[in-house]
Amino acid sequence: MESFRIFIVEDDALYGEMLKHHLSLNPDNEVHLYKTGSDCLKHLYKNPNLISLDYSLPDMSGLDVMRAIKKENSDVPVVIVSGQEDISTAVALLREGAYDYFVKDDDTKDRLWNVIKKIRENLQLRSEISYLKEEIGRKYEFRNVIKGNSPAIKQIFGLIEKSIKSNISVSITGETGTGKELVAKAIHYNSPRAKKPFVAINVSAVPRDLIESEMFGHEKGAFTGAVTRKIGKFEQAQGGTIFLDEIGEMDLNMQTKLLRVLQERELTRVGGNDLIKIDARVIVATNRILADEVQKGNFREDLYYRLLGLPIELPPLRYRGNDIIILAKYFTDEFCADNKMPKLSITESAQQKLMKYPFPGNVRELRAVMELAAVLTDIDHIDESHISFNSTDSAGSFLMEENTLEGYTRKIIRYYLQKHNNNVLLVAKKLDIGKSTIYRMIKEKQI
Amino acid sequence: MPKQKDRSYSLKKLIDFIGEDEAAIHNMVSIFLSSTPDLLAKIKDGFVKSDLVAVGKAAHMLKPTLDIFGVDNMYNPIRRLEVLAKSADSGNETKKIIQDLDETLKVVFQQIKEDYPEV
Repeated sequence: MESFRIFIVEDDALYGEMLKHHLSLNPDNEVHLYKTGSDCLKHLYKNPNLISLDYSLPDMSGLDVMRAIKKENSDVPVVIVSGQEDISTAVALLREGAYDYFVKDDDTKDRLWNVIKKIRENLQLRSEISYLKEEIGRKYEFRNVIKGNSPAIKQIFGLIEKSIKSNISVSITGETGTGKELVAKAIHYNSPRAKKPFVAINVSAVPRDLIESEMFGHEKGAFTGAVTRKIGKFEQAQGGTIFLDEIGEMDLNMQTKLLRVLQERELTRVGGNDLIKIDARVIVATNRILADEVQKGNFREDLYYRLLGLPIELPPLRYRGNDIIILAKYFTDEFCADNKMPKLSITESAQQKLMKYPFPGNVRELRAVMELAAVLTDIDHIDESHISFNSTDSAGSFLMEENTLEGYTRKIIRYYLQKHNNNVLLVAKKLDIGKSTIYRMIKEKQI
Repeated sequence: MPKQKDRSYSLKKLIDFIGEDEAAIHNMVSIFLSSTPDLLAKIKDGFVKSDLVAVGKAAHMLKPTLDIFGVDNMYNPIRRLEVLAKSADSGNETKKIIQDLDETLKVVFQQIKEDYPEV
């Protein structure tokens, strides 16, 4: 770790030297002693990690020095070490942003030592957070997370690139499991707002009565149960991006409030009076067609146009051709690495089975299918038998298999025979076909 | 380390603060001997000139120095002097404290010079 730079601003020569000597006992500390406020201010370019400031200086008051320091660098912690045992002065200084205030007494050195320890821990945490943020940025480098090279997905890459160059609102549509939140994160973490928060809220998952407080926050006592002040998602996303998932589920009353916030770029917490300026980029997502919802009167037209911004429509996986195999291999490799398993290949027959399936649950479903296959196989590859589909949308997936009419007929009859213990007479009656047709198909091993 | 029995000062707090580093102790003693007479002079001079603000400022600065050098019999008087100066009281009590301070520090300076002749 690099040196921890401490400024001691103290006109009492003895006390200043004592502090300097004491703090220099730790070789990691780099201690500078200044006798006046202006001397300290002149050296702020050295970026101190901590300033120990005497309240009574010959040229300026401690308060004025602290204000000047904070103006130059609001992050540097300033500890006031004073001979003055005056509570009101201490409170005033702490309100102005002092990190701590202590009176010169026998405990000063221990208290200062503890403050340094806390600040160093804090700096360590900040540096770790900064590193993690960069890691997240790398993780969400969109070409790393959104796999594929189909024309449909290449078009999406182009739109993401356009969206990260400006602050334009983005509306993402697509079937469930197509990766709407992933795209929203990719936009955020590749944009100039990457170092600020990405805050997601699923509008449909929050009870109607709580959505306003969830989004805009509330003051203590705003309603029964509001025992403390709550900062809403919009405020949490200050400087960053707010992602409103399932925006189509928002009720009309809340839509009016959201529109006002987006237009005025300010909000009031529930039960509060203060206007709070908001600077958050808005990305919305829905699996509904919002234009239709506007026509039906379920969605405000003015809000629709405000949110529409740059529309990104994510293609269903079944329209992405060979991306299915690219993604299948990616998910398998990732699962094996996460679970410290040897790499698995995917056989040609397994790939064909994947390519034929319509994936109503899209990429999310493919991931689940490949993870299950990786668990089921006892050998070094995944074959057809390890691939099983459990889509809840069985009727939809049945029709999307692109079978022939004869093929569908065989499947239906086979299904009914299994369901009714191979009772041909019953099945013929239920499907309203001749029993001889079923016997013929069984004889010819068509079913 | 000189014996500090029957002395009007004590380096116990100073040593607690900076450790038993002989060179550092000498340095602090040297700073004490050079800066404290100035502060005392400011107090006396301020009183003579009825500049109680100057008296208060110097008393405020002298307070932690006397604490650190264990001049315990001035612990309360120096605080009282600061209060009196703040309220612009130039009466007998103020005068008496300044006299006591002057006499005590003369003794302290003498004792320290005896104990640390090399400083």
